[in-house]
Amino acid sequence: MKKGIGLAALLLIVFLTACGNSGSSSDNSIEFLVSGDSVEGNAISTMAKKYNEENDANVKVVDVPYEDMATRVTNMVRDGNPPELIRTTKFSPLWQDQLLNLGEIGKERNVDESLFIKVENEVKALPLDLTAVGMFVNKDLFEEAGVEYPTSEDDIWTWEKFTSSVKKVTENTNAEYGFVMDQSEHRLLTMLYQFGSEGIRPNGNGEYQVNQETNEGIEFFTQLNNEGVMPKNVWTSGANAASLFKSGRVAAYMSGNWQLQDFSENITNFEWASVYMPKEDTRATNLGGNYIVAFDGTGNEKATNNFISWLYKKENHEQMSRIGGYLPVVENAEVNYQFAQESFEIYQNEIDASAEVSSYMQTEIVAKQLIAEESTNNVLREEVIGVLNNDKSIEEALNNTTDAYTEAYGNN
Amino acid sequence: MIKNQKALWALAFIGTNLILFIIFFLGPALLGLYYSFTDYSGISASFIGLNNYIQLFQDGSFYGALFRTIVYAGIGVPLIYCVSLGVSLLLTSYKTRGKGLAKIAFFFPWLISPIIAGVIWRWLFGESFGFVNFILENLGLSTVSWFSNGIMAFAVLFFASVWIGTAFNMLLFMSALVNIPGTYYDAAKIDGANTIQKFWHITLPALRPTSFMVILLSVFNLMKEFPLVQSLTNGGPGSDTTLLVQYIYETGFNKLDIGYASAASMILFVLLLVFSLLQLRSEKRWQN
Repeated sequence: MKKGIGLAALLLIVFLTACGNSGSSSDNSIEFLVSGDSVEGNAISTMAKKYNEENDANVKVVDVPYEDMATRVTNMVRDGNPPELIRTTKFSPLWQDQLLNLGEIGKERNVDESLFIKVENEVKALPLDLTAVGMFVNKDLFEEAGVEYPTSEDDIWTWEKFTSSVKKVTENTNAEYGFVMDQSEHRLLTMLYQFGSEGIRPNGNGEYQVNQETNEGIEFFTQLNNEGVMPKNVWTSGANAASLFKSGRVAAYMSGNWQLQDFSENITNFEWASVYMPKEDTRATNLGGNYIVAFDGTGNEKATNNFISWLYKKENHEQMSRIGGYLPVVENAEVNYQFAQESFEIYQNEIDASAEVSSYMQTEIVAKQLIAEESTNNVLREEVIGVLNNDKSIEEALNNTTDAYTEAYGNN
Repeated sequence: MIKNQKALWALAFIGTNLILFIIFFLGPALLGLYYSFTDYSGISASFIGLNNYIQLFQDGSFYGALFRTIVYAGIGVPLIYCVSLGVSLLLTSYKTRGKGLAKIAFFFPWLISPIIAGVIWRWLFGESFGFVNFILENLGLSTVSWFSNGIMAFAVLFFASVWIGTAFNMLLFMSALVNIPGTYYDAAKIDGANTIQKFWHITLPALRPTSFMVILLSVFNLMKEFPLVQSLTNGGPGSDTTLLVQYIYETGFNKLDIGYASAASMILFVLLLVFSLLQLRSEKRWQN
């Protein structure tokens, strides 16, 4: 009951805020909803300010809590008063009919087409800032143990080699764990791709399935957890993987380029480095990041399009990526980062060397969010947690996962 | 006429409350009931009759969550009852020193949000950097995997629940204890009753109405516990501490299966209703 009251109160607040906004959204002023800009060096706000000064425009960047973005935008759309522009990772089917087709801008500005979110041949969203999964090592621990890690693309390690290396590190130093991975489906999928998984894909009948390699990857992952190479409490009970790595007592950490700024500024008790990720079968990373979505029916469509086009202009995109520490999505863009330049180069190499699957699931599942009402958000993660907790077998976990995908997306 | 006028006045006085009740309480409740018969996903709903309920009664993870909720309330409520009664007895005893400070210390948990309480306990019992494991390690003992072992995670949850539950219930007990007439104890003393006899034959019977309140409120609170579990264990390891409300939240907000989640909410509602009716009945029997 309490929840009902809270929900109703929330709706009322949203309704009132929406009403409050309705007066201001005209006269070519663009409301741009963004999450977490302040922790990313105010990249978006800086660009908006620059645009406003150069073009005598009025782009207003509004910071919205990450968790609230989809709900808030959905409510605004329902109310018939959508924002002009948002930067998001989550989508709702309710938006689908009210989105501007950004295909032309994307093509004109040479944005990476494999990352376009397309529904029925219309580009509903463009990637704005790209992220990729990558590996960090504690350089001090590796050196102390006298263990080597690959420094160029010519000597990429296998998962077997990687595991024996980090085991050696824990044996010969005071390191507590060899390896830690964020409790995230996105990270786990990266590892599975490296084992040769093709992700979770539909067959001809629209039934989703996984290949045998996926099974093997999860088996390996489970073994790492059960042997104590990885701390089990990260995946089973949500201990913070990043703080474990930052404590200096973990040899390697699989996360992504979004950590670079934080690590550069805040890790002072040891030397760390970005290294090439292991592969078993294929080299792969997993792409992610935010998308830019523009709404139709605001009366400011033209101004919005102009701003988006400006934002993707090569030098502007480079500047934004530099401030925010983003990987660029515009072809041939070269970014001189303010920190961890070598790490960014490794990420770029990883992306270039990655199999097609690295962007497939991401764009596919994001596009599904615009069509399907049900969500498969974290299904695989929850199932694998069940495996680690000895609640179910890998076989069962994968069957449950593919069933959930089929149920949610099978008819679309 | 006069009667009608009185009724009108009464209505005017409760009007605000009534409107709020209907908008924010009755409305959502009825909406929830309706959703439980649909496959509502937050976007569109079509009527599917009793399908959600049929599916629910065949769902192993629903039974798991239900069972854990009953265990949680079944163990947690007696624990909270005993500890808060014990603490209030100590705090009303004339022998205790430093009552003022102790009252503040015991009441403190009530002043912080359950989310913060969860974070505090999570930090205390953290496996890698936790305070408790740090102490254990320094004493030369082996550390305990508080959150990756299901039973231990439940134990930490009990600690935290009792810590929070004691704060408010202690207040109820203390005011009731102070109000027990001293003459009873004097009479018992003359009759030669010892402390245990006095407690058993005077204190406990005199506390009946308060005990009824404490038990009822605790059962409701524990069966509906959400923020504490969310911030402390997040239902983990695996689903070992996933209670019914977590389960409802997961299905409703993560899987967007709001119809199904509403059906589960209705079951929780019926459970709580049945419990309060039973409790009311037994209270009446006490009074007679």
